[in-house]
Amino acid sequence: MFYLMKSRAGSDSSRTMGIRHGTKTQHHSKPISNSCFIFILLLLIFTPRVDSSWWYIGALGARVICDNIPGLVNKQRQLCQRHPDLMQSIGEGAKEWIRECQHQFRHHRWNCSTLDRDHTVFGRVMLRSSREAAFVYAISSAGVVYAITRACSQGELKICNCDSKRGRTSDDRGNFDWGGCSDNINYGIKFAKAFVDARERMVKDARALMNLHNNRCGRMAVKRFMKLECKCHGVSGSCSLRTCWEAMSDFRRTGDYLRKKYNTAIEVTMNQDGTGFMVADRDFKGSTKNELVYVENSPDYCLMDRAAGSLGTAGRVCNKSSRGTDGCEVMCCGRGYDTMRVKRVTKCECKFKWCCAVECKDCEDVVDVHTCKPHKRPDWLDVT
Amino acid sequence: MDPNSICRKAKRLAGKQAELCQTQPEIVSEVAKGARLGVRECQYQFRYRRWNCTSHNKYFGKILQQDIRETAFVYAITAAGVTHAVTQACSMGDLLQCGCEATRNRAPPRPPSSSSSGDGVKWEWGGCGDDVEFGYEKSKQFMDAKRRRGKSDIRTLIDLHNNEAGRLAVKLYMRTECKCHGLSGSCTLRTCWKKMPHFREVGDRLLERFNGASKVMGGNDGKTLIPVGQNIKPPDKQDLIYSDESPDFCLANRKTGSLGTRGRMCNSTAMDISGCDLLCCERGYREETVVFEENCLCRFHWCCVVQCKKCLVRKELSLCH
Repeated sequence: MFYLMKSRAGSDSSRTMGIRHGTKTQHHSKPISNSCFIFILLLLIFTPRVDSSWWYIGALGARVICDNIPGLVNKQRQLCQRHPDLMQSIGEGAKEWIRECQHQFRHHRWNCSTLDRDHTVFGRVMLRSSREAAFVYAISSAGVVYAITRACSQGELKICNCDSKRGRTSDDRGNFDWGGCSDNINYGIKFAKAFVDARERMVKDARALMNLHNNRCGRMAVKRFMKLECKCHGVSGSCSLRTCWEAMSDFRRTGDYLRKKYNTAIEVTMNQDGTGFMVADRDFKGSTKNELVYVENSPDYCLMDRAAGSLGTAGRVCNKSSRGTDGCEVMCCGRGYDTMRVKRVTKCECKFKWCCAVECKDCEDVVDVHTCKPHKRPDWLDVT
Repeated sequence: MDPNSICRKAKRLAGKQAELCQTQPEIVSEVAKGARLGVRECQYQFRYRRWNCTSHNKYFGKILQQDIRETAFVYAITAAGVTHAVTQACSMGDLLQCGCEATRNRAPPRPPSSSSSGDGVKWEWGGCGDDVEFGYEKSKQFMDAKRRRGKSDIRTLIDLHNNEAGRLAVKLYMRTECKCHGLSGSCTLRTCWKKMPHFREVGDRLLERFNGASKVMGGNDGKTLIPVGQNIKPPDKQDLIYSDESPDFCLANRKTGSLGTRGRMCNSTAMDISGCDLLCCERGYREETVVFEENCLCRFHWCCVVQCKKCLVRKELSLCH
């Protein structure tokens, strides 16, 4: 017997069950129908009720998700409740920009590592207004723009769709018609600005100004890499007739660009009125418009420092022969490295078998893996 | 430093060393030269690290008492220096007991890897090859002498291993030099000999080993050393080993022998340990412009004088606070 679900449904179900059984028992004789009725009543009293369960979420919807994300300000929560599907896209996009950040910094001492079960995601590192914070804010904004624009183009959202461009224009290769699905990046930028910047607009300190500036830099970085994609469909595939649309480039290009900006980030201080920035270095000529800005110097990511949020470089894999930031001299900060002999099993001698499988053998390889030594104080110094 | 004055201090040298002092004082002076060469190379390799191998004060001894990575390097480079200096003295004819390498019992000549000539090139071992075996033996005799008296504590084992690593850094990296002397200088006839590597190369190689030094502890049988940690590759003969963690060289500490990094010259653009952030231990640095005199525009006058002018050179230095 299958019980229909409702939160306060106990009495209803018994009524319906009673009615159903009622119709059946009419065909039997009277004493049997009486005992049947008592039997059913006992069954209903002693059967456990099914209480409210997670199925309720279907009715509640986005409200419960938005209320349970810590760290949203009121404006953000309102936007969240109004556009739950956008929130889902942003959530998926978050994984992507975190992955891109970790890719860009995989060879550096600070490698954009996230902490599990921490609602600040990156830990205390972001409390300091350093270059790394500038990069993370920029790439997170860029990630939101990218995710929303892509969701628009893929038709996942009700509120936006492809950018409407009509007519015929020309570029340096000839005439073309607008067609296809142009990415609606302006909507993405607009929503990202409203959502991501909402928190920074509530306070007016140096950190908020810095975040606003870097967020804008990230958003513009995505727009910068929009390119024109065309499809030729003239006579036998020639490009006499073209249909073009504007598309976003791969997010990797934005990541690379922002990392270059990270390298050339500018140290600034807030000016007297509290409305803008002044560059700290007096010899600097140029504008900060398209650059990332930071206020404080980065902590030393060499050693573990709980207060600054740095995890240190102990145990990081380094490259013995490299002279760059992933080389053992730079990564391990002079502490030296441990060498481990590890057996690696890789697939080798792969052959294609007709039809249609690829069969590979397992090759065992012994490789040396170098990891940075941890920082330890000598034991005898603790004995005084 | 003449042999007699070294050996007058022979009371401090024990056993075999005193014997060497009496029978072969010239070798002992070469040994002293080699030790100085080793320490000089140590100071060059460590010039941009927090501890910079300064040996001019009493703190050097305190460092050598601890069984740390830096001590391992000092022992290794000293052993290498002694090997290098003794072998060099042999080749230059300063020592009577040895000379050029004996080539009669050599294997048939192999062409060096850098050769580009085809067949039909005649090879011969000739010239004056470095007798590195002699230097190796003397270095072993002198430096390992104090320790062979049946002592097998951890410190002794580690020191012996590091000395050996230093000597092997010289012995196993000999290069072959050749001279062509066929018809009008062509390479149809070649004479080759083996030479030791430049000592700077030895220093670089030992610095790499220093970076990858393994921490070890004593095994249960008291004779072997096992690496600390899981899956760590066991150190081979050329690796350096140590057993204690280095003290903090940032601040001066009389107990550990550290001098601190105050006033040290750092490199403001580098990202590794020679950079001002790490070398000055986040204390900051100041820029100073130093003007000093240098020899420049040197000219050779026949015969046989080199005359140089003095130039004032301006240099920007970054010094730690």
